[in-house]
Amino acid sequence: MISNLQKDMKGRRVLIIEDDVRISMLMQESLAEMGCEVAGTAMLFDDALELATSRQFDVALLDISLNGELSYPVAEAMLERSQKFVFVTGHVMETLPAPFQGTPVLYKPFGMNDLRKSLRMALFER
Amino acid sequence: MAQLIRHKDWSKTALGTVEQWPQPLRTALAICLDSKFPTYMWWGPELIEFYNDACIPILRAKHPDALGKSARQAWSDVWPEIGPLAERVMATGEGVFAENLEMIPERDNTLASAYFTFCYSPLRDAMGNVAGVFVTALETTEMILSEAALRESETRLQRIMDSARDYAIVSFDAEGRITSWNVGAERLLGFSEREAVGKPGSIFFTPEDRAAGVLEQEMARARDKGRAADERWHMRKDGTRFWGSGLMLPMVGHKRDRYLKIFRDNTELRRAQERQALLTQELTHRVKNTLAIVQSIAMQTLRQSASMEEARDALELRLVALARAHDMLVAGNWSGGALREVVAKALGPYGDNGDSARIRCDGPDVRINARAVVGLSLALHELATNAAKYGALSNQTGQVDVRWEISGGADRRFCHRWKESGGPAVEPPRRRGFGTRSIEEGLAQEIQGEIELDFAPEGLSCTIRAPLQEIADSG
Repeated sequence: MISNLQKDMKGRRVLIIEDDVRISMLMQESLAEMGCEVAGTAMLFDDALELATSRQFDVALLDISLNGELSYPVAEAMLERSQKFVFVTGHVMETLPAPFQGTPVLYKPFGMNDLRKSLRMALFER
Repeated sequence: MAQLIRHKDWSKTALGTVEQWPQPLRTALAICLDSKFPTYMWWGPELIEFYNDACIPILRAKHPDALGKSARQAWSDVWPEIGPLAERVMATGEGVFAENLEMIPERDNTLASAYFTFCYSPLRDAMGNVAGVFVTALETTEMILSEAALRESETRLQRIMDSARDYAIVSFDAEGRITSWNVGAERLLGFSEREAVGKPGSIFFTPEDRAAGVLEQEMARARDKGRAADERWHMRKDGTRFWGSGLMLPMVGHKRDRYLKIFRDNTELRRAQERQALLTQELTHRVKNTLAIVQSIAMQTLRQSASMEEARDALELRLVALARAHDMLVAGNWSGGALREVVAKALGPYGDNGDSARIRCDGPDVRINARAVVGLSLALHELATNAAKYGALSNQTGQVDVRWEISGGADRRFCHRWKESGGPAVEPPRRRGFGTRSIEEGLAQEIQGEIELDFAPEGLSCTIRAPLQEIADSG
């Protein structure tokens, strides 16, 4: 039996922008389990900006801090292209700048359900 | 007194009866008795004493016996002080004024300093010759003592203010102008008392706080709430800043607004708090990072294990490997660790500390960064576990050769080679498991390097290449 949730996520192409490779790997596995495709991965700011503006994807997971560098410009680039994304953060609380308010935030460490919920919010509730 | 004088028997005195008194004496006595100011008269060479009602409280026990006595006897206790004045007037005919003259009169059988302000004027007979002394006297003891007490209390207060050398104690008027400035303020802020008093209190606030009107807000809060905390950067005369810590208080006993500010330099504590906050933040980050790694390891191990038992064993060993990497980082204050130690710890459980005949380790001393310590620890753990299960360490004769080197000039590269030999024939794995992924994806990205895993039949080899700057401990 395939649940509605799985049906929603099946085949979705997800871009992973995360500077910690172990977390990136965990995301890749979890996404595969949900039936998603990984559209690409980036760890560094420049690669992230490049992928965000060139790759085809349905939704992105975007770590707010990439090796200490804020990824907001990447988020702006995605907003301009009307791309959907989820912020990922290791902070306890995240205060988002005005243009990004309302964007779903995935707090580390996260479980499979948190990941799925945040992606659904980005895809269907905005 | 007039009655007392009239009824006294004067016939035995040098003056004779009242009817015999000369006119100048009568005239002067009338003035004396009419006065409400303490006034005495000493008449004739004997200095026979008269006084008015205003003198009675001052005379105390001497009244009424002093009347008609020689002043020399009546005032014998203080004559050494006042006698010379009276004698001088008698001799020269010139008035004398003495202010706050100290003497020790006998009063109620006690001796204590008393102070008087006197005016001695000559009294003359019909011929114009000096015939007596007209004395007005006012006791100033209370005034003198209270002035002395005030001076003493002021001195004491000043000493307290000046002794509080580590505390700036500053008072302000309603407009925020400085009205007092202690030694502590001088020491802390660099402005002398003369430079500071009268200036606006904002002189020792930072330009930002000056623009924001922080002093005025502090004063308003002190007035409304009874106190205002002062925890902020302040500025010295030379422009340097320090973290001031203290209070602004409304001053009691003033009709108009007055404020008192007491504060000290708390820069050290502030810096320590900032360091602490930074450390806590850093620690939180590291713990989260570690938890994420643990989560990643756990999920993948569980997913790829055939049985619960297998999962438990594999997970335990991987977490132990991670914990060992952590121990190294803690020992190295999280900056990194020695590669030789990373290798030795990973192989420790399988060989005899890496120097036995079966496991050979060789390479230069190199310190690697925290990321590389974790990545390599986990990777070497997977290689060692695999070797012990299926490879060169699974029989009695196999060998593992671990070598690393640094090559190249300006663009230096790091190369680490793991090579097994003498083990059972190697078969390529049926599927890519955690170990393979951890090395090929995890480690490769952690060190921005290339990994070559070769499942050659004669023995597995793993070559790790990376730019030295990606793995070296720069701290």
